[in-house]
This record gives sequence, structure tokens and C-alpha cells, in this order.
Amino acid sequence: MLQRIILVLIISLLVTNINAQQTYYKEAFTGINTMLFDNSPLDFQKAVFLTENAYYEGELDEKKFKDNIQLYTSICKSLMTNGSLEYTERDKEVAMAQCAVFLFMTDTVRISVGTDIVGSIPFSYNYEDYAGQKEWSNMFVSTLFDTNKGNCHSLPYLYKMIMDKLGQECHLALAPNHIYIKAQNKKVGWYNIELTCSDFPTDAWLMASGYIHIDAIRNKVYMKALTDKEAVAMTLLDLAQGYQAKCGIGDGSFIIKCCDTALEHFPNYINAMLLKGEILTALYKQTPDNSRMEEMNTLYATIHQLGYRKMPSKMYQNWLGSLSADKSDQRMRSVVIKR
Amino acid sequence: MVKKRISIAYILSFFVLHLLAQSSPVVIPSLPVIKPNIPTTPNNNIYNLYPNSQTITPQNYQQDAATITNVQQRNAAIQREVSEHQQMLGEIQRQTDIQMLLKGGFPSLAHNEGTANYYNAFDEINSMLKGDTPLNIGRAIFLIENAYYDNAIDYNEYRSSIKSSVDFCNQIMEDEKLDKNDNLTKNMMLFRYMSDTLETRDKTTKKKLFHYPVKYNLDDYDSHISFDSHFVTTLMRTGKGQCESMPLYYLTLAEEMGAEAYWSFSPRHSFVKIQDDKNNWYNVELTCQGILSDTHYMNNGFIKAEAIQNGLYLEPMEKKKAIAELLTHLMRGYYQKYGYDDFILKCADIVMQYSPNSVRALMFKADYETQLTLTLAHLLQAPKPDIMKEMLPEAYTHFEQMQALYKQMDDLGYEELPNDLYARWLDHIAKEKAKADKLPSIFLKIRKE
Repeated sequence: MLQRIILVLIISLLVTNINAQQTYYKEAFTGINTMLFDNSPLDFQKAVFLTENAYYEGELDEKKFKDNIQLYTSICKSLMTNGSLEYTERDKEVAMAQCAVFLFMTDTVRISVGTDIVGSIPFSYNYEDYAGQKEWSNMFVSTLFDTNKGNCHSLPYLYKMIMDKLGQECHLALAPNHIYIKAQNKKVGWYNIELTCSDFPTDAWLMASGYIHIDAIRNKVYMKALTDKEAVAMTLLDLAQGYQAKCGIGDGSFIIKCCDTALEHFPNYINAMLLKGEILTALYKQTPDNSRMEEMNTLYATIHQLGYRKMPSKMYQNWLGSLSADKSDQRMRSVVIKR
Repeated sequence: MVKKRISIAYILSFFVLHLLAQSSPVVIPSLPVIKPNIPTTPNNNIYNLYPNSQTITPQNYQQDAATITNVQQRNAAIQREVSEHQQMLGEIQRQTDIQMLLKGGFPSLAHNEGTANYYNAFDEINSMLKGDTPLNIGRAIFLIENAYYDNAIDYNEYRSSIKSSVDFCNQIMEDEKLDKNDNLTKNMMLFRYMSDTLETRDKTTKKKLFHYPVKYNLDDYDSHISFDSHFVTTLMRTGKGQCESMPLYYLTLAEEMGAEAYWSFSPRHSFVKIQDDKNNWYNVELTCQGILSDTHYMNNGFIKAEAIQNGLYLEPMEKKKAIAELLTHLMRGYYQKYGYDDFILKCADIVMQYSPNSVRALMFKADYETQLTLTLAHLLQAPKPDIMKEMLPEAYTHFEQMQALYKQMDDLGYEELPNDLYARWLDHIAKEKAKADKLPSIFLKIRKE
């Protein structure tokens, strides 16, 4: 009898625990969803915080999160004015901001603290778990704060947050299994910022080596400067993936809801389509059902038509390492030379 | 590999020509040489309106000193009066010019001889675009080039040249028992026609017929020596073409043959796109006689993702769009012969009606505004935009319009080729040319042996 009670207790504890987790995720979803429906202003930083906080079940310190970004922003601000950068065109403000944040994130910057001068430690790439496969939180910006190690998710996210705080335009952009930054200034026009290897790759290099079909570019699936709304829609997918890592797919409804909402605001968001396809496939395997099969087929057909091609995983690993000087846009380099 | 093939073809072409000189190879009829009538002073130069003020310097007076002083004084007075009068006239002229430019842009050039040919060509092409007459690339090209030559080309001659080229291709396809109804086969035939040496026999006379590959014009690929170097009729006359005339010639032949082929752009370049029965696209690069991948153009042409997303480059153009884009050739010829007036703007608007992101048309519009702004700045003697804004806000709006147009181009993803990239390309051309020049003459060799 006692054993039975204990068993029931354990099960009910587990259930409440899962329920609690789901509550955090639901709250985060509502938060981001309201933002997307224009009920509150778009705030990328807030949306990212919500997704990470849901994963930590509300334990993430919001003040610390905000303070960190505030600190980085002020360091970048001083970099813009202390003469380390030289830029002569009219749009000085935005170009200097682009360079300052890049410099701060990828290089050692001297900061005076009281009477001392200390050097900042640049963020490095997390080679051990770059895709968050061992631990999903390795994708997080808050992890980047704690460990100084990031990946192609957290690094561009942080870059965008700092630029947003500086009040300057900045866009996330997608490549297969990858996120990077697209920026624009008068001197070089549109260019790309790659924080994982601190370089400025050209579009041609991204296309040729990044396994991107030309249709995917035409359909704005990849290599498009994403709007703030699209960036916030992307966090919904982060939320879904965090949920999956933590609670599994469950009945699939939460993840599919995230995907569908993201797609409503970012119709060609390929990662949302792919995740939805994955969930539908898993559900189909559990209970085969013709209408689901049909839904799956149309979805995968759309994905193919948009120009998506699955990239062999080995290729991705070789890819980032292959960017060398002659394949990058040298013109931005000349601005970021430290004097 | 390709280069090797070219040089072999090059040698062969001499060799065959020499050996078979007696058998009188029938080459496709070429067009006669035509000299265009270009007005010596394209009247766009507003500065010409201000002749240098003339100074009167009498030298033939050999009289006594008093008379001379007297005369000198009188002359000086006259001189002053004349120059004051001229200054006043100049000032009036300046003010009228400013008002005229602000009101209606550059003055109409319609009074120039030959402009009517351009207006007629425009009307005919426009009626194709409006759907009143069938779309016809070959006809559009003819109209544009003929306007430049003051209507000196005979359309029938042009047509029969194209027809006989297509007959030649059909003959080869018959010889080789190829499917004359298959789109890809027809396209591959055209590709061979332009890049390979072909041989067949005339059906009735049984005489041998040859066709030699179209060569790349290494000397004047950018029309800097002669404006008509990029003309299709020049290619038909000389057998040499470049990256505008070769694809356009191909499209003209494809149109005649009933093959589906599309014009496509990359920075400072154009080529042909074709599709196979599985809907896969191929890029036919006639300048180097190859089939190239999209990635090749991305890598070598410095193309930005935005440019692809906005359909600037690597996009197969529908026939209507291609013909609209051809209007920019008409504009180029008009500008070359006469200069800027509202005809250019009218054409640009039509182009953009059918090809909304046409960088070529935008470039004309932006250049028009730039020249207008500069002319106004010169007339107002305003060295900086801010000064112009203070002096005459209406003139400043042209400066703003100019900037807006350049921004529009930037936002579309257009970018000038970086100088080093372009230099590399020029260097490549120079090397190719040196190679071609160094090719030993087959005739000398024969004499030695």
C-alpha cells in the first residue's frame, strides 16, 4: 500500500513538474506572440530572454541579463568615440557601431576600470558542442555571458542585441544550419559579418561553400537581411527546440503551434518548416494517418521547391573552417584595423 | 582546356580556309558595311551656350600718337560697353537656362537629323510591349541598330541572313538525324553553331558549306573603339561578338528556329539561359564557349544575394522583359549620338514598366539627374549641394532625386564591380589577346616547308 502511495506521489510530482515546465513555455509563447501581433513593441532582447528563461524554469536572472548587455553596449560606445576606428563616409554613426561591436566581440579591447586598465576577453567558439546537441543551453546568450563561449546562434544574437541597444540597424541572416549578420553602410554597401571566425565572408563564398541553391536565395529563404519581426519570429523556434530538448515532443501541439506562429510572420522560415516536418513525421510513425501523410508531403514539397537541400553534416563542420582571407571582403577589414 | 580548343579551332579555321580556297566555301551571307551619320557636336553641352567673350584688338592703325591714344580710348570705351552688354546677355541667358532646366529638364534634341528614326523604333518596340504587335526580338534588335545607322540596313537582307543560318542548322540536324522538334536538341545545335566549326553540303548544288565559330572581339569588347562593336549586325558582318551581341544573336536564331532560350544578366555581362525537359536550368556562356554553373557567375561576377532576390542577375527573362531591356540599347545609341533629353526618360519609364528592377534603366535615370544637377550647379556657381540648397531649393530637389535613384540601386543589391576585380578581368583579356596575336601564321609555316 505504502509503495503504491509513493509511486502515485512520484508520478504526480513528475506530472506537476512537467506541467510547471509547460507553464513556463506557455508564458514565454504568449509573451512573444503578443509582441508579434503588434500589441507590444518588438523587443528581440526580451524575446530571447523569454526563451532562455523558460528553459531554466524562470530561474534566469533578468537583471543580470540586462546588465551584461548594458555593460557591453557602453564598452562599444566608448570604442566608437576613442579613435580606434576610422571611417570617413557620411553614415559614420552606423558604420562605427558595426565595427565597434565586431571589434569588442572578436578582439581584446582595453577598458579602464577605475585607475586600472584591463583587457576584455573576446568571445570564442564552442567547438565541443556547437549545435547544442549535448546540452541545449549551449545555444544560449546567457551561456555566452557565463562561459565566454558561443556559437552561430548566440554570437549573432548578442551582436544584434548590442546594436539594438545602440539604436543602430542590424539584421540577422540565415544560411543552412547557420545564422550570421548582414549590415549595410555607404562604404561597402551590404556586407556579411561572421562572428564565429571573426571575418567578413562574401555572398559568393557563402553560396558556393555553404551549400545554398540559387532558388533558396531567390525565395529569400537564405541570405536575406531579416526584419526585426522575422528575428522575433525566429525566437519562437528556439522556444520550440528548447521545449523539445527538455520535455520531448509530447503530443506535438506546442511545437507545431510555435512553428505555425513563426511561419505566420516569417512565411519562408525554412527551419520552422523543417521542424514541423520532423514533428509530423514522428507523429505519423506513432499513429499512421493519411491526412497527416498528405500534410507531410505538401510540406516537404514546399521545402524542396523553396530551394532547400539537406547539407551533409560533415560538410558543415568543414565549412566554417574553410573561410580564408582571399574569400572574405577585405574592404571592411581596413576599417577595423586598430590604431 | 577550352582555351586550347579555341586555339585549335583558330588554327584550323585558317587551315581549312586555305586548303579549300578553291572549293569556294559558302559562308553565311554577311551584311554590308554601314557608316552611321553622327552629328559632329552632340548638342547636349549647355556650356556651349556661353561663347568666350571676344576682345577687340585693332592692330592696323599706324597714325600719330595722339590719334592712337584717341582711338585707344574710344576702343576701350567700346570694349567696356560690349563686354558689359555681353555680361548682361550672359546673365539673362543664364537665368533663362536655369528656369528652362528646372521646368523641363534638358532641351529636346528632336531637331537633330536622324532622331525620328529613334522615335519610330521606340514606337514599334513599344507597340510590341503593349501587345498590339507580336513580340519579336530579332525585329527589335534590327530597329535599334538600324536607327543608329540612319535606316541604312535592309531588313530583308538581315532577315535572309538569319534565315540561312537557321537553315544551315536544320541541315546539320537532318544530316545527323537529330530530333528537330526537341527543344534541348535545338539549343545544343545553336550552341554548336556559335562555338564550333560545322560542315554540310548544299542540298541542291551539293557544294560544301561551312560555318565557323563566332569569335570574341578582344580588341573592342566594350565598344570603346567603335560604338557598334556590341551590335548583333556587327557580329553578323564580322563574325566577332561580345557579351551583348553573342547572346542576342543566339536569341534571334532561337526565335527563328522556334527554340526556347532566355536572356539573363550578371554584372557588366549577359548570357543565355536554357532549360532541359526536367526543368533544370543551364547557362550558355558563348564568350568562352562553355556551359557554366550559377555559382560560377556568383563567384566571378561579385553578385550579392540582394541582387538575386530582386531578380537583377541570373534570372531567365521572359521575352517581353527581354525586349523591354533591349530598349536600354536604343537609349544608349540615342545618348551616344545626340545626348540627353526627355526621350531617354520616356524609354526608361517604359523599360521599368515591364522590368521594374531594371538596373540598366535606373542607371540612365540616375545619370540624367546627375548631369542635370551638375549643369545647374555650374550655372548657379554653387560648388556644394548645401550652397545650392540655399540659393535655389528647386535645383536642390534634383540633387535629392539623384541621390534617391542611387539609393534605389544600392538597395536592389547593385554594386559596381570592385576595381581590382575588373582589373583582373582586363588583364585576362590582355593575355588572351596576346595569345591570339602570337599564334603562328599557318601561311608562313607552309612556305618554310
